[in-house]
Amino acid sequence: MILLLTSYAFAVEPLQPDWPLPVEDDHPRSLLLVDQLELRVPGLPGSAATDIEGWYGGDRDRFRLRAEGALDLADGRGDAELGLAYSRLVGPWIELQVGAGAEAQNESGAGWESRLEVGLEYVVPYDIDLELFLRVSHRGRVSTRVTAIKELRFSQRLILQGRVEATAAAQASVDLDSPAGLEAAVAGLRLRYEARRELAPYLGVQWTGGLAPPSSTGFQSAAQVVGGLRIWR
Amino acid sequence: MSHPDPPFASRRRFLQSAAAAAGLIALPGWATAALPPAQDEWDLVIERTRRPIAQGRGRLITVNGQYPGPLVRLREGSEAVLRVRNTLDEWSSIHWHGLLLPPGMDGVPGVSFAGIPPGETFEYRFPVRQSGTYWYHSHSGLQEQLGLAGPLVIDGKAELEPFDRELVVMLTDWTFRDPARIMAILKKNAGYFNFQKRTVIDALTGRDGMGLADTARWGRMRMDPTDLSDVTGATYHYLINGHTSVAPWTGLFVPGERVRLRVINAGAMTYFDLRIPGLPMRVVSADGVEVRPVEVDELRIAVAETYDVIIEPKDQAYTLYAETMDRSGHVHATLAPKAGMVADVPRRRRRPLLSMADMGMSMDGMGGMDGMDGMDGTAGVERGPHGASLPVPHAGQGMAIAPPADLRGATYMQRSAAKGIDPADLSSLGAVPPHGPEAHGPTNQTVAQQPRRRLAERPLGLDDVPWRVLCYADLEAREVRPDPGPVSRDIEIHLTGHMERYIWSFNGKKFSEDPFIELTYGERVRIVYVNDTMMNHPLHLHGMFVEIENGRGLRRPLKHTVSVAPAERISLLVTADELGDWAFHCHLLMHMDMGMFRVVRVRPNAMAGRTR
Repeated sequence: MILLLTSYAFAVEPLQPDWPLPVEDDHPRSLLLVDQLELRVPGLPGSAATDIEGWYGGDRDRFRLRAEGALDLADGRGDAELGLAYSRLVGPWIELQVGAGAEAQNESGAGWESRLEVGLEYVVPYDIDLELFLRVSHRGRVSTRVTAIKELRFSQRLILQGRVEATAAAQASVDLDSPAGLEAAVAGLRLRYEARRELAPYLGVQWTGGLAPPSSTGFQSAAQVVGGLRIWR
Repeated sequence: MSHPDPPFASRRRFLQSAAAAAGLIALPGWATAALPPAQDEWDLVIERTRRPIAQGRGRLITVNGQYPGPLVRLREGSEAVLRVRNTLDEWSSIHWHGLLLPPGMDGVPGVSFAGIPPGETFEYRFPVRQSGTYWYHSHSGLQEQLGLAGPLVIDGKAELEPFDRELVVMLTDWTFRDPARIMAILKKNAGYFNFQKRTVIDALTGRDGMGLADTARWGRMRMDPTDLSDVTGATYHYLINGHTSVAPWTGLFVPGERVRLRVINAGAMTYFDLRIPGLPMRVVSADGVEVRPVEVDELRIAVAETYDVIIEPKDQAYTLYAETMDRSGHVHATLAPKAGMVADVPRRRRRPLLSMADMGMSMDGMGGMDGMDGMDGTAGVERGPHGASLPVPHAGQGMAIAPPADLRGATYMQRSAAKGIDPADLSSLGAVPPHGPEAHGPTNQTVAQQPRRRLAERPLGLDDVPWRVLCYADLEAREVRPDPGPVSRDIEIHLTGHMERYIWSFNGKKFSEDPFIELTYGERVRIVYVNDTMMNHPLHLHGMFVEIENGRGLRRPLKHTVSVAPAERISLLVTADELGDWAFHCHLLMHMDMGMFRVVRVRPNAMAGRTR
């Protein structure tokens, strides 16, 4: 990873030693996007959830951050996930990511797993953001996650975001109380109003389903209404 | 002739009090009265100024406290001495845009000198070798966006085209946002300032003229046909000589006079379409160099270009109307025989959409290649209704509408022939080859599969207006230059970029990845630009004029800034007759800053030295 970074961290020399560069085109830049910061109902008082992503770096090489979490406001149970990765633009629409992450939960018992993650982010034709991650936990558990996001513009400020996500594992996990097979599938529609581009309240619906955790049986699913704020900076 | 006395003794005083009433005390003198005479020595002070601008208060960087800066007027054949004092707490600079001068006097920090340190004075000193309309601006960071720019006019030994009065028309764009913040925003969200995107409803109903098939094509390309300007009227205020349309600038004339408008686009990121309803404009100079007069009704002026036009107004008021290329904003001024007179102001037209031609798609089955010599000419054919801005004849416009011969679907050769260009001069350029396999790396998103020559084509958004519109094929140098001899080599430069990450580059590489283009002193080269992006780029070479190969033979027009349309292939000739290092870049300020920049290094000819 360090090697990859240094391979691109060359600097153009000023034309004369005490001169500046005429343009400085490789300043590091950053983005922090809170794509979801929301309440989900039914359930009283419902649950709170967030989904955050960010990056810092240059045009080709960046550090990436992903964080998400959900918390049942009634009983304080929930789960959280964090990932840090090095990312490199390998094609105009493709970015490769290598990193580490961790997930923790206190929904049934308490447990966590850490993992190595390899990912691919690909903007496919028709502007669909596709994200594919392959993960190996510290116990050797292999899992994968696929996310697709598509946005439709209804006016210059009213935007519908459709998002589907599926997580599947080769083995069950006792730490996370999650099954082998389809851990979770999530499909959401969020209609946001960009009062400012950086600040958009939204309303939406979300459907979550998946095989039951080892501590339970069957297939579980739930539909929820969501409302929150999308913020970036 | 070129410095007529003010016809009304009280005019200046009246305008100044009017300006003072509008809170615009620090307008430069040239914007309120006759242009001042030339002088050889100038003292210019770069300073931070808080002052009223665009109905607000801005924190500007100005020259001598004025926005735009004072008119620097020089004389051809003299030696100019310009002492520039920098009172900022940061480094600064002034670049004399379009001037032929020694490389150390060009004013580009990091290329011609170190810059002007805080608190210090730099003395620019150079012989003035040309005449015409130019301008100056900071070349340090994004200071130009903060106001550090002004007009520069050089009196020629002989003005070829007679006129009675001259007015400078300086177009600028101003934002109350910090330009560094705008840059940062564009890196996070490149479409941030575009509030004219297509909606699902547009796509489904085709109400904006684009059908589902084309919508799907753009979707597959992952590109946006409304992406005409990165920074728009959503944040910009547009100004003529420091005035917005709220309190428009007025230029005064005496009916019957021939008035020379020296039009300068000093916008940081904005192309303007300029017209004076009811008054044809005779273009007599482009980028400071005299051209054979050509009469038009509207012209697009790219960022950093200058045009001189002569108008012959009657005893009435006129509106000088400048609309941004993306139609997100406009600014107008009044030209009138008396202060206080006004004319009707046109309405803004609808923003156009980029077309298949701008995409650079191969036109197989859509008209095919031009039969004559393989030079393609189908550009603009598909622009159809969706590319069309509605040609609204405005009330009171009173224009003699002169619709051009219908050249829709015409080939490049036919369009050029219609402008009196000898096809033989174009045939030597040969056919336009399709784009090669090189895709310019991961930081370039699109390639123009089939680039085309577009010099004889009207600019996007003006293709359907029922009046005459300037294009580069119309430009013909006033003087026949001697034949400079054969071209030693071709240098092909692809304009490349990545919209999502807001990366701008040449051949897929930013300045920091590939800093130099090397030429040998005395060498004559053909520079070919191929625009693989879907935006227009005004490319500016410092220190030397380029000649556009538009079929005008030894009357090829000389330019310091050449705008290249999406998917366009354009060839230029340049004689590397100025030793040293010269900046070469896209003059969209943010594109330059992001790396669409090179140093053109003209090296001494070692061989010539040896044989001598």
